[in-house]
Amino acid sequence: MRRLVFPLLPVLFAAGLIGCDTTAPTPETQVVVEAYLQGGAAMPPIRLTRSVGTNEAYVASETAVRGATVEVHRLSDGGMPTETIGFTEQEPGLYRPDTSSRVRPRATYELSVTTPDGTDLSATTTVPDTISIVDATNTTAVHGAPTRQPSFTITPPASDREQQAVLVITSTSLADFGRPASQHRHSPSVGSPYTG
Amino acid sequence: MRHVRVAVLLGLCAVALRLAPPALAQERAALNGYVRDAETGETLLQANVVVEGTGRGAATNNDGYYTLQGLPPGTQTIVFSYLGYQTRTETITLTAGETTRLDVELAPADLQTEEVVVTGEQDDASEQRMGVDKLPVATITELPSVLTPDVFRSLALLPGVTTASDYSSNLYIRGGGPAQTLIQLDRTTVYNPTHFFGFFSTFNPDAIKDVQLYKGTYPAEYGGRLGSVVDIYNKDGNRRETTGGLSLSTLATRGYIEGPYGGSDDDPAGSYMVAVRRSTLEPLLAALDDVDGLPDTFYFYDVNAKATYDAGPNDDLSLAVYGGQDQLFLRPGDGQEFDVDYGNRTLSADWTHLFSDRLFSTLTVAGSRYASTPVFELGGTRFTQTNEVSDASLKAGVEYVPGDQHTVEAGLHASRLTFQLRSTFDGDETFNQRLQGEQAALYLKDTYTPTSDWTIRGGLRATYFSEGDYLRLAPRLSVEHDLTSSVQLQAAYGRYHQFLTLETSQLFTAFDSWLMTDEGLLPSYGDQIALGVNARLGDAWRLEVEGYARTMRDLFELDPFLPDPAGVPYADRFQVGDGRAYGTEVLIRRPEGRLNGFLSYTLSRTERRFPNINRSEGGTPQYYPPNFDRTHELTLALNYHLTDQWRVSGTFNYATGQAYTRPEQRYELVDSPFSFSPGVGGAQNVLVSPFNNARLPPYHRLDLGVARTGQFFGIAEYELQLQAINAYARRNVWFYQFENESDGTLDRNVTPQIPIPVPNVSFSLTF
Repeated sequence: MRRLVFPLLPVLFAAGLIGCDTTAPTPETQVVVEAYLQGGAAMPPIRLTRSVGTNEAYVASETAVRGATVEVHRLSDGGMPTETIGFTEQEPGLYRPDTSSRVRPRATYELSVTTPDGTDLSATTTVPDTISIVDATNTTAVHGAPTRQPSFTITPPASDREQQAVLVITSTSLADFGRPASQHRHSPSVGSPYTG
Repeated sequence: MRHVRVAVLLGLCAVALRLAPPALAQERAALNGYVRDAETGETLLQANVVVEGTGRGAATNNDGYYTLQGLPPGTQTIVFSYLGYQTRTETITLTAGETTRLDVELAPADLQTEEVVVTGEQDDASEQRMGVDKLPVATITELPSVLTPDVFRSLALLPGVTTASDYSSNLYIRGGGPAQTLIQLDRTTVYNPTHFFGFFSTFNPDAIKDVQLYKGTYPAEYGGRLGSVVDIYNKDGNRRETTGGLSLSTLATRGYIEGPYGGSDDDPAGSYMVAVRRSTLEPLLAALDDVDGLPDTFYFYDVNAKATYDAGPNDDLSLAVYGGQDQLFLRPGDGQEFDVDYGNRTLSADWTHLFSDRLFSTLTVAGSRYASTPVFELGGTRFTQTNEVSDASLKAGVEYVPGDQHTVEAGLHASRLTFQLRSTFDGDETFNQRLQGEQAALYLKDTYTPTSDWTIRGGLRATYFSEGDYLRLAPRLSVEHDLTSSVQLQAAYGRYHQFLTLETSQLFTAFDSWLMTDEGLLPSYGDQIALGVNARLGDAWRLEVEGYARTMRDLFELDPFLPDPAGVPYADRFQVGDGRAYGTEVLIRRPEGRLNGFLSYTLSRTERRFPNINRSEGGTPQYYPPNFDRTHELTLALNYHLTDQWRVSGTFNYATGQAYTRPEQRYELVDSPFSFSPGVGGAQNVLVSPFNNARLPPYHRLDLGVARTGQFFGIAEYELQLQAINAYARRNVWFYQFENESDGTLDRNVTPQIPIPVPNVSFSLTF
C-alpha cells in the first residue's frame, strides 16, 4: 500500500494547483475615439463609434455614438488646462470644433469625452514638431533604378529625445505621370521609424 | 560592490579547502577508472558503478570517469550498468590504503543476448536523478520521424517537453520557452539550434553520443537559464576500428566515418569522427518546378567533427567543431526576392587531467557564433537585417573525492557575449545595435552520501554579469532516498537567474534575436521545486512520477506597446512581467527487450503576466496561458522487434489545443492618416480580444514505421525504414486567420499543420 501512495503525492500536489484557473475579462462593446492631431494643421473633427461583436455584421452607419460631450484641452507644462476647445456633433458620431484653431506643435493636449450613458473617456498626447523640406533632389525617378533616387533635406524637428528619426513618405499616383515634374506632389509626414 | 564579489569568491574557495581527506581513508581502499563501450571504446557518461553488498555506488561523470573512496579492503564484486548495455560484474581484490584502477567496457545489449542478461542484480545499480532524462541515440533513430531523425523532436516525446507545432522543433520545457533552456554541444552554448526555420534541430544523430536533458532543478554546474538544460556530447570516435555509415532518406543524406589513429591497434594515439548531413530537397523542387511560390534554392548542411588525443594515462585532449548553414532563395512575386542565409559555428577544445586518483579536472575553451543575414529585395530596393551572436568562453572544473561520503565539484565559467543587430534600407543603415556583456560564474557542489540510502547534493553558483553590474547567488539542493531496493524518493529545490532574453516569432526561428540586461533592466530569476518517485515494476518496467512548481520573476521582453523606440533609453524599451508553471509528469517505460518504449503523460499549467495585457476592470494585468501551455499531453512510443530482421515502431501524441487569441469585438478606423488600406474610404479594421482567450482543437497524431535490417552484399549492414507520419491524416490546426467579408462579417480560415500522411523512406548502411 505504501508503494501506491507515494507515486500519487506529486499528482495530488499538481492537481490542487491546477484547480484554480485565471480568466481574462471578456470585452463588451466599447466606445472608439478617432482623433489625429497634426502640428500646424487645423483642429480636426473627432469621430466616436462603438465596437461590435465579431459574431455580428459590422454596419458602419449603426455604430455612431451620438449626443456625447467632447472637449479638447491644451495643457501647460505643469499639466493645467490653458485652452479649452468644445466640439459639436454635426453628423452622426462626427464632432467638429466649435472654433477654428490650429494644433500647436510640441504642445500637450487632453481629450475628454462623456457619452450619454455616462461613460467617461480621456486621453493625453504630445504633438510632434513639424518638419519642412528645404531641398529635394531627383524628384523625378524611376522606382528601383540604381541611381538618382529621391533625397530630401529637412529642417530638424525639435524634441526632448536624444535621438529621433523622421520617415518621409512620398507618393505619386499613376495618373500623375503625365504631369510636369514641377507639379508632382510630395506628402511628407512624421511617422514611426525604426532607429534606436 | 566589488568587495562583496571578492568575499563570495573567497568564501567558495574556503569551503572547498575545508573538505580535506579524512585520516580514515588510509585504512580503506579506493577504486576508479573509465567505463567505455566495448565495441567503440567511447566513454559512457553517467553509467552506474555499484559495489555489491555495501550499498556504495557512483555514476561516471561527463567524461566517463568514476571514483569510489573509502571502500572496505578485500575481495569485492563491482557491478557496472548502463541503459542499453549489458550489465557487467567484476570481482576485484582491494588493498587497504591503495587505489585500484579498473577501466571497464560494456557490450551493447542486443536481442540475441537479451535473455542472458542478469537483471536481478540491477536493482541496486540504478541512479536516476531528479528531472534528468537521458535519451539513447537509438531512440532517436528508431522511432518514426518527420523526414529525418531529430534530437529535439525525440526529446519532445518525454513528459514535460513539447514543441510549438509540427513545423517547429524548438523545445518548451516545464512551462518555459526556448530562451529558458540552455543548449550545449560539447560544453559550448548553441544559440539558435535549428534548420529549416525551426523544422529541425541542428544536431545530427550520427554524430551524437549522449543527450542529457535536465527538465528542471538542474545542478550548480549549469547556469544562466531559468528553466532547463539540454547537454549534448559528440562522439569521440571509434577507438577500436574504422567504421562508417551512409543514410539516404526523403529529405536528407547523412554520412559519417570514425576510427582510431596513430599508436598501436591496442593503444591508438587517439580517435576521430566526422559526420556530414545535407538536405536533398532539390529533386523534389525540380519536379515541382511549375508550382508557383516554391523556392529556387532551399537547403541546409551541417558538419560535426571531433578528434581526441591520449596525451598519457592521465591526460586526454579533444577538439570538436560544428558548422551548419541554411540557405533559402525565393521569388514570391515579380520584382520580389527573398534571400535568407543563416547558421551556427561552434568550436571547443577540451583537456581532461587526472591530478590524482581523487582529483579530476576539465578545462574547456569554446566559441560559438550564430549569424543570420536575410535580404529582401522589392523592386530593386534592398532591405537587410543582420543578426549576429557570438560567445567566447572558458570553463574549468574540478571534481574531488576526499572520502567515502563526499564528492566535491567546483568550477569557473567566464564568457564574453556579443549580440549585434543591423538593418539597412536601400544601402543606408537604419538600425545598428551592438550589445556586449561579460559573465563570470563560480560554482561549488557537494554530493554527500551519509548512508547508502541517502544522497544529498548541495550547490551554490555565483554569477556576475557586466551589463548592469549584477551579482547573483543561486543555491541548489536535492535529496534522494532509497525507500526500498526498487523505490526511490526525490526532492529538489533551486534558484535560477537569466541575463538574456530571446525575441522570437515562434514561426520562423531565423529571425530570433537575443537581448541582454542592462542598468535599470534587472535579470530574470525564479525558484523551482520538484518532488518525485522512481519505482521498478518487476525486472522490465520502470515508473517515474514527478511534480514540479516554478516561478519566473522579472521576465523582460521588448514592449510591444511602445509606438516608437527611437530615442527611448534601452531599459525603457522593455516590458517586465512574471510567470509561473506547475505540473505532474508520469513516465512508464520498458527500456529494453523485444517490446520496448514508453508511455508519458503530463498534466501542467504555465502562465505569464505582463502590464497592458488582459487587464481587469481595475487595470491590473491578469495571468494568461502562453501558446505553448498544454493542460494534458500524452505520448506513447513503442518499438517491437518482430524478428531479428523486422521491427515495427509507432508514436502517438495527444495534447490539449494550444491557446490562441479569438477576436471578440471589432471596429473600424475611418480617418487614420496612416491607413494604406485600399478599401472603401481606406478604413482600417481592428479586432479586439483578450490575449490567448481560447483554445485550438486538441492535437493528436499517429506516426508508424517499419524497418528491415540485414547484410548488404557482405560488406555492410543495412537498414531500410518505411514510415508514415500523421498516419490517419489528422488536420491539426496550426493557426487561424480572420478576414473581413464585404457583408461586414468576419470569416475564419484554417491553416493546418502537416495535413496528410507523409511517407518517409530511408536506407542506411553501416560498415
